[in-house]
Amino acid sequence: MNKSYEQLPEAMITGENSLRFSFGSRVEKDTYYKVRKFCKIAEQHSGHYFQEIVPSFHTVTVYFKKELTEPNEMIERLLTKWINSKEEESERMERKLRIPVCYDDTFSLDMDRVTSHTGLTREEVISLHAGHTYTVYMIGFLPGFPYLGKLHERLETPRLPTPREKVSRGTVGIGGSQTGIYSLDCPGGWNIIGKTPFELYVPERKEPFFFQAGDQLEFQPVTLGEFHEISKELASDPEEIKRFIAD
Amino acid sequence: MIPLFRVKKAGVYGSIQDMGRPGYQRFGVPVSGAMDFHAFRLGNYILGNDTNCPGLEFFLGGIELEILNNHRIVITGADLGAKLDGQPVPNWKTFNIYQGQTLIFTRPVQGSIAYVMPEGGLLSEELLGSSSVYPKGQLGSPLKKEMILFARQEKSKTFQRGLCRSEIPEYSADVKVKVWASPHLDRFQPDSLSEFFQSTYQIKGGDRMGYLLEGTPLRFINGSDILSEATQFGTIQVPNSGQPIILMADAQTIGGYSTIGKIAREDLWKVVQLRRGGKVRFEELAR
Repeated sequence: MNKSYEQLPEAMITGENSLRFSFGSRVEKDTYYKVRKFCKIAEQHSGHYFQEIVPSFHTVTVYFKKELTEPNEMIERLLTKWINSKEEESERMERKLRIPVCYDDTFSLDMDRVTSHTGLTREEVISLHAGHTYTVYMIGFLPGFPYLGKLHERLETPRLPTPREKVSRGTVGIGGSQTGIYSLDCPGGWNIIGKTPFELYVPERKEPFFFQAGDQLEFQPVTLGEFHEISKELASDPEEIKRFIAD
Repeated sequence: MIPLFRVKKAGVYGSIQDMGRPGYQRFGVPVSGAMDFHAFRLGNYILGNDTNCPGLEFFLGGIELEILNNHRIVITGADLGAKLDGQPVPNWKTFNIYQGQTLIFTRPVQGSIAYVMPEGGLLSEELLGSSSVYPKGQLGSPLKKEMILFARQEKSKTFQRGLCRSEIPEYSADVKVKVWASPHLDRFQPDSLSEFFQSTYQIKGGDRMGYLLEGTPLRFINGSDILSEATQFGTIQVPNSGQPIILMADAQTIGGYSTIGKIAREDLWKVVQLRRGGKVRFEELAR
């Protein structure tokens, strides 16, 4: 069955070799499914000048290696594939990842801020944060940095009044209604509640990036001892990280 | 692997670049690559190199290189007052360098960014498929004092080559560039947008990530913040201050501010070569 005209994404030529397709204006599951599905269609049907795709919450930007001489034909081609594609696409097709996070005092520098703002106990914060599946909507800001949806409302905590000059890689934080993991050492204003022994981005590793858009992830609380054990194991063989990607 | 230069003074924003690192933007890695890709490409062309041979890029001058081996190089891009052992050397024309000589760049005469490349290109580790340095992403190191730069191969015995005069780019300090419209134009007040396309903006400063502009501030209907989406080299982003920023080769892959559009590729190098105080006007391409 063909979909109705209203469901076509809005297409726009944004440069000599870029097309932008827009699927909505909000962070919504429905919009996200369309983005994911369109990414797959664009990868398969953009021809040999296809360079890469950058998804966001609500858009897909397709880059081409060369200037598009007939951009409208390309848009039409992709929209036709979109119309003719099958309906189903769900989280079940995505990778499921379990991320060990140590919420120990050693790392959770801003736990007091979070508990006093939310009125929750430390244990409640951990169980709400870890007891939830997050979707990786997109990667950006830093190499390998995942934009996750969606933090439990009760955990929402405003960012620090003054950002820290350096937050170390692997740090897990809450910033407003967002949560995430820093993929590199960098300045940051999120409330730090824990740390993962995983390195999300290692340019020299066979798989340089741990996350990709669409991944479904869960945080798994680990003790300080377990944290160090995993760190040690990964230090001796960074490729071991593959073990944590469940199918 | 031939030691070619010892860096005696690192200058401003010096780094090894090639044509960039496409393919990893969805993982948050900027494309990077030569800012003035036009001058860079011409450099490899003049030398008879492959189009993607790495070269040294730097801004404004102040750089000093000790020559460690006899070789042949070309300087392209901005005229930064190059001198070899005190004698002026030309851009856009190969010349021989000899062990013990010193190559310095004294001051910006025309343009902002120059390239030094040897025959066969510089030798540099490829990370994620490119030699382009992007220190923020742990991809290579910027130019530092005492660093040694290597050439991939020895000098050949061919004749010197240069670019014919008509092909040599001129770097004006007052440029007009074409702009592809952005999907966010309806976020700006309409009269503010038409003002933008009628006014002149000045370069206030910048680096490989972006150039800050100063001029008539843009006005929004409801603030600049948008749901983050893809940005690219040439995107004109406008934060809540209303003063535009042109994203450059190390542009972040996604951004959360409204954009006006993207500068046409054929005009991009003209903006790249503007220095602080340089002027730029924008012309909207037909929508």
